[in-house]
Amino acid sequence: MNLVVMLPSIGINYLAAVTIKRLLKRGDPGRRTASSLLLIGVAFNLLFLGYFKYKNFFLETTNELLGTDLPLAAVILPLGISFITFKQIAFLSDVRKGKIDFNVLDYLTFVFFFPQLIAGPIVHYGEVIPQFEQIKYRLDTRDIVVGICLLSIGLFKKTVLADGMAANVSPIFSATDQEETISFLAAWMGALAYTFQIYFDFSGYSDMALGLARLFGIRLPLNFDSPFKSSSIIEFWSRWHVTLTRFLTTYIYMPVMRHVSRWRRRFGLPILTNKSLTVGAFISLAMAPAVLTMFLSGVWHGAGFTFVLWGLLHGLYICINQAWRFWRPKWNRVSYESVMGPVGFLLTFGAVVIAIVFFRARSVAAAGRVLHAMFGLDGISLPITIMNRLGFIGHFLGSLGVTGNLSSGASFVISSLSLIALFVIATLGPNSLEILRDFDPAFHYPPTSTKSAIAPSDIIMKRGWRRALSFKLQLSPVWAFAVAVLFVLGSFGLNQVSQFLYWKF
Amino acid sequence: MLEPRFLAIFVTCVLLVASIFAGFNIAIDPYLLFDVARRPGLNAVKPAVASHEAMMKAYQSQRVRPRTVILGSSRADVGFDPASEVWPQEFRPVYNLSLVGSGTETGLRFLQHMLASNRNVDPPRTLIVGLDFEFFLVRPVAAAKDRQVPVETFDTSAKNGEERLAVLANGETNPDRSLGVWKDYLAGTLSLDAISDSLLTIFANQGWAIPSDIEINGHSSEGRYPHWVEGVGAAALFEQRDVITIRQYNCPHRGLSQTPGASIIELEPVRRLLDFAKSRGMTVFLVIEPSHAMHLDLLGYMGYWQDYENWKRALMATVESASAGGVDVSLWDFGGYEKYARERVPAVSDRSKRTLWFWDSVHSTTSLGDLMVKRMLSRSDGDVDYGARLTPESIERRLAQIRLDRQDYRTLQPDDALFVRNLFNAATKCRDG
Repeated sequence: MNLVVMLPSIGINYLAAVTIKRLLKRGDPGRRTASSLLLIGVAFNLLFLGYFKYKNFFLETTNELLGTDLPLAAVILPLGISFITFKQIAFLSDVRKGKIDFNVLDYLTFVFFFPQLIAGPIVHYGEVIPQFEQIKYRLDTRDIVVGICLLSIGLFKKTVLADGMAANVSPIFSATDQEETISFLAAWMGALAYTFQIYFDFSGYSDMALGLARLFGIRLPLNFDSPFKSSSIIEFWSRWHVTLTRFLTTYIYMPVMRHVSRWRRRFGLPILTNKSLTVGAFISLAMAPAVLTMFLSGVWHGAGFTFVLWGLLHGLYICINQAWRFWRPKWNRVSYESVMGPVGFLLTFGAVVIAIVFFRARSVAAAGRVLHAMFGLDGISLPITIMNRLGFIGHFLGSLGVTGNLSSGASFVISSLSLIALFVIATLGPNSLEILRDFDPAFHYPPTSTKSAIAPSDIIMKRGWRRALSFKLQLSPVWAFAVAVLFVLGSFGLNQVSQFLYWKF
Repeated sequence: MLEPRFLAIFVTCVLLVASIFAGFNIAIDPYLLFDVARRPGLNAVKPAVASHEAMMKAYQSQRVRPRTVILGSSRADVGFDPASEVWPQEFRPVYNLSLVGSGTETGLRFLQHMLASNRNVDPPRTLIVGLDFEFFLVRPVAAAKDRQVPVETFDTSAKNGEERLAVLANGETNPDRSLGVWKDYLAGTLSLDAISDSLLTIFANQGWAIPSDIEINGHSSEGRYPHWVEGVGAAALFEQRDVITIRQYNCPHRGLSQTPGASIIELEPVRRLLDFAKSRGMTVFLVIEPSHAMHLDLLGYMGYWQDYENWKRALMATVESASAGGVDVSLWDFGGYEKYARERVPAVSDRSKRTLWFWDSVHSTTSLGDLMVKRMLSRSDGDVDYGARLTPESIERRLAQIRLDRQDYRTLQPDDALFVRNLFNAATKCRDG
């Protein structure tokens, strides 16, 4: 069914690409026509995506605003449509730039290569197809080792770590969906649990995609690089869903910035330079493209006002981050990193957790209720069994207004410890690609550095601990056993209801 | 040649580790799948019943040969103790096939399964069927286009693991059963849930976890309730249940049928159960489950009292019709304001006192269950002053008596009545009125 729905889009994109390629051979007039055809192709892809993903959202909104009774369409959302669509836009753009040569078989391989079909990475044609041409038609045991290691780590992250958090997420967000009030700690635990659920879900998926492709000898590009080690929101987006950020930067952020710069130059208005910076230039050249890009990122992630608000909030974060970069005190680099590294890390983590409430909540009102509780406006409560066990501390907390509730004390303790463990893994541990760094695990790895000079582990751990945590895969029996345990536990986790969160985007 | 060696060790370790986990889960048998001996201190207590009761009873019920079977929801699951001495000898052995969150539909499906799995032995002679008023409530449909909406049901076990049952609803052999059983075996050996439940089983048997348990006669033990009372106090358990009741049933307001005057949809499974019992020569005791006065008051405040009385009348009419058709059935009403239902709840701060008849507003203790069994199975009516058999002659008198008892309760225990009233008043009001 997915294939039937997607085939017209794939066929039209291929025809457009072939036509653009021919037009490019006809000199300047041909190039201009090719550019127009590219624009038409992009518009077609966006309309195609819009029909499947946003039709009902627009109908519902219209019904709500105008009081109409337009019937909702029974639209099937094809698996991975958002990713395939973006991949095709990038493909058309690369063809227009004259970067790639292609034939129909390579094109179909590019579109349907299954490991990255449903949730990325959003690859460029030139990153993948040349690798197919170099495949040795014999099993390469090194590729299989790397593939199995990535697959095992990814499976464990998804079914054990991410799915293990699900039970802490649903009750909180379901309660706010039903207009119930929740307390401060419950709200934070729900938001943090979802943060780590989606973190390990996407991280695990990305590892598995890389691992599956590597079994066939293909290296996919880096897509997830320990985003919670970031000390700024800009750095966060260079580590979270790397290929989406690259796509949005290449096809939205930079073109918008270039157009506005040209427009401002034409009218003699100042542009962004290191020497002079005006508020007008900042608003039009830094803020506007960032907000627009993140707004579109939000819309791309899902059809709903909660996703729009999530995107706008991240746009706002990026604006604040950029403003800080332009106007911050000019300390020397070492002093700056030692002070602002930890502050930036905490601010970034907190900002992501707050925004993610919109990402998970079913409605803006429900998100508002969670945030209301997270800011302590609905009181603080602890399981009454814990309050009783705390003795005089419990009484003291009671005198401060902390109340007891009837939730399970054991569950509260287990959930808290799980959250702490996941926080430590996400912020201090090495990621899969770092563990496999001697085995060339991904395309574009290691990344060109956008990272802060100081990592969370540098701040809180001694050098010996840091060295211990920077372990890497060795082809030893101990590592074979460790990977086998991860694989078995990850596979055992498949034997229960589970689903990737990121496939639906 | 390091890579081939690494891969060989990896594959060996995968097989080895998976086998060790599977062996561990089989030895502990947290879900009663393999009928492994229950050893005290290791796996005698089965706490996984809290999350896997339907699976566990589907397999446990195949291994028992009871003369009396109890069906119902968590109320019957906790309240009726098959090991109690009150059961007359001719009714023993007794097996409690009740399931948390299940109504008559699920009860019938599991009874069919149990009998189909024991084709070569005599079927049980007696059925005790607990009936929850709340499971008969459905959401009304406002507009014609909504009539296609499936009937909402509180019988949450109905779709839970149909594949594993021996027969289909129509009595034919379930062709998908092998697949369902293999899925259960896979879930019971090669899953994270099985590993964590095996560990939980060991912890509970060592006294490190709250001891939920399913006994060999199907009874869901009361062991966890005293722990909860000790932890939070009995009053908190009552309040929590009342809050859940308001949350579940207050909004939207429901009725016994989707449209006014239509038939009561959920009576159909009761009729089918009675037909099934007749075909197997069983005597049926339909039991209107007891509720604490707090719960009964809440039903009234939420606007359900008229429906509650009408439900009893409809049940009685169904029983009369079935009796006329040759079914050996009687209907017993324990849903009144008798002294047991008016039991005073200890003060909020008191964690040392336990209640005798109810654990919370809807779950009675086995002490009350024993009284109910005595009342129904005793040959003389005068033995126990609790509940009443409903007949066309007695029902209106009984309903009037309950209304009088309610007035007495509110007059004599004004604080208890006010507590629930305030709880209800504090709840969000329904938008649909």
